[in-house]
Amino acid sequence: MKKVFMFVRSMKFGLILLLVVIAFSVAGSLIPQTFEDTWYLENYPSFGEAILALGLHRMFSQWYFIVVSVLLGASLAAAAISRFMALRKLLQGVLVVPESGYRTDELVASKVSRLCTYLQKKRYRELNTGEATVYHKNRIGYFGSALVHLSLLMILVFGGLVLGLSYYDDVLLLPGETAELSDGSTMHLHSFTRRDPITDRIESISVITVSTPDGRTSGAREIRVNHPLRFNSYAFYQFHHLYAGSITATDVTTGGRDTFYLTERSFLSADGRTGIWFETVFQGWTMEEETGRIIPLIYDAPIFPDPLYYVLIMTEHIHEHRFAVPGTHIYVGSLRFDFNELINYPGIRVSFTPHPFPALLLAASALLMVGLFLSFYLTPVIVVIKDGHYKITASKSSGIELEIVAMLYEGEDIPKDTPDDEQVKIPENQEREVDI
Amino acid sequence: MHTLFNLTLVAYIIAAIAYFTGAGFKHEKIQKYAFLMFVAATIAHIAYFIWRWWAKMDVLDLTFLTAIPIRGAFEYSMGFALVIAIIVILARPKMPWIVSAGLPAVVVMMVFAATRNMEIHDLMPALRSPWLFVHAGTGVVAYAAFAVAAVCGIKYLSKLKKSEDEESKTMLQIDRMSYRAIVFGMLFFTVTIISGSMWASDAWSRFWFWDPKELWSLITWIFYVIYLHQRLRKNWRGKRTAIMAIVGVGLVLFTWLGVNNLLYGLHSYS
Repeated sequence: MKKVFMFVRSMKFGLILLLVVIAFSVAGSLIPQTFEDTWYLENYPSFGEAILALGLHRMFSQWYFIVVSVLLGASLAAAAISRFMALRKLLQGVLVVPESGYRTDELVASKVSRLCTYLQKKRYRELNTGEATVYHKNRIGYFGSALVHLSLLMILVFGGLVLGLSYYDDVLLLPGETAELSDGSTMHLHSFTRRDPITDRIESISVITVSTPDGRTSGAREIRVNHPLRFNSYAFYQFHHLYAGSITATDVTTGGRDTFYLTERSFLSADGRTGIWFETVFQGWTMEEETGRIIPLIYDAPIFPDPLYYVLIMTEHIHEHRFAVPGTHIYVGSLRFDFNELINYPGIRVSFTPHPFPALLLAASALLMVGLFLSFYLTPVIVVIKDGHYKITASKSSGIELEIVAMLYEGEDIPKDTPDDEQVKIPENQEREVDI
Repeated sequence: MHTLFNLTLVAYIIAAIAYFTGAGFKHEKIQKYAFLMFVAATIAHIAYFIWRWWAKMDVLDLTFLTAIPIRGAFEYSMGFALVIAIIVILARPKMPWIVSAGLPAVVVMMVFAATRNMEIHDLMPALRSPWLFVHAGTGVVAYAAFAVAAVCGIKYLSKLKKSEDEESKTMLQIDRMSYRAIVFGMLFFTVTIISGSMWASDAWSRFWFWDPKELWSLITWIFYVIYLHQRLRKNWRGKRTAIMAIVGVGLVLFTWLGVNNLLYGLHSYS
């Protein structure tokens, strides 16, 4: 069991997993994710089927990526546990002072004095054990690595839960319409505009009210990009906008009238027999000079610079397709149909994320920043001066040993007797614990 | 006002030519004046940056945080160059060699910026968020720090090629500067990724989309994590970490420019 733990917590295992994640990420960036299956077959004729068979189009939710993530989580957990275990003594207020591994360059009294003054000036804490003088600094830095691994584990777990448990749905609503959500809550769209009334900038803005089955309500709230409405574990995003046809039908005999917003094929009639079938709205049109024929235009972009209505007129005797531009009208029987300018309507994304995972994810991110700061900028240092010899215990990358040695031998040749890596590793029986 | 940018660019180029001419002829005075010119160019650069920031607030009626001029290739590379220039000036008293490493990087980024569209454009609604300041601001600082680490790596390898002792004071200093730049960059880059995911949660409904930009940022972040592990736990130093720092900036450049131009994703506008 111990062997398994040691393997899982080993840096080699962690690094292999990170390299595997890199490989997945490279592949995931080259193969666009979560498109429709047909897209892969059309765009990758030679290996589209292989992509689908291996699930490479939804790579990050496949079992093999989940296995790698779980192993990475185990590696981070083991690394965090071993680091916190190593901190037990420190948490009990004990400092481990090495008994061997001291630099071989013996310090003369003046250098000892200079070293002590230097360390005091640098605000090291001084501790006299009787046999040795110990200076230490940044004990809190020992927590850095443990916090980094713990927070990364939290990010992996909570991030996985957020991605796995949350879902979203895109709802299309016309002003005045109400949509029901899966838990019985409702979303009512009051209005939608494509221009900010204050700044006059083009921006999609919806005003919605959300109500829960138990009677709670958000009140009428404005949503726009970067400003979603968060209510009852749901978030409502102004996601995109679409165009709808708008036709006003007037009964010339009674004077009654109604305006219809049309997004799909619909029949507008008073008696169910005479009226117009709304077929579609083309994005633009042009006229052939020689024949005078109107040719509808379709663009790739969702724009309607010159909208053109396409309708089918239906009476008992006539079935006739017609084009109409906004601002014109058609009489069919006793009905007059006015073709209005198109209206915009919003696509609202409704996203559900269970509490409290997003908050925990943010807390883990904050913890990661603290851990990184402690690891990088509060490097723990212990300097022990004993019998005219000294030992500096600090990460080599901190450069503190270099600084101290350079200070001690300023203007002199530095003796080439810096302890090598083997000397720095102090056997357990050659350490002594000191209360601090 | 773009004249100020052009003058800054010219000043950087002249400073670089003069500096390396001075170095070639071992003429310290020329190098000193070249460095002064570099400082003057940096001051002009800061002035242009501030002007552009103010102009975006004024002309486009943006808030202070959303007007930060690091949106788009021109502004981003200009900001990138400015951060490198400031790091070089701040580090120079203790590390005079950093000028010869950093100055070419500044010139390259400024020349690249000059080839981009300099006009001020309005921000699309999704970008009008205070997160732009945090996300893109920390990103540009992180990228510049990684670039400084890489130029230190190049300097290290070039000195090594000239048979300089790996244990000499300068070599240890270059190696340590490279490490410190990566540490600094990692802190900022982590904030970039975290703030980006928070912004995505506000704007696009999810923290993470597995978008190519996100994936390459993750790859870059993991790469530097591996660097730090090897350095802190395995005590890698010198040639190996210098090579890693250079490879790292290659990943940074691909994440910044390569992804936008070669791969399709949510960040295609950036």
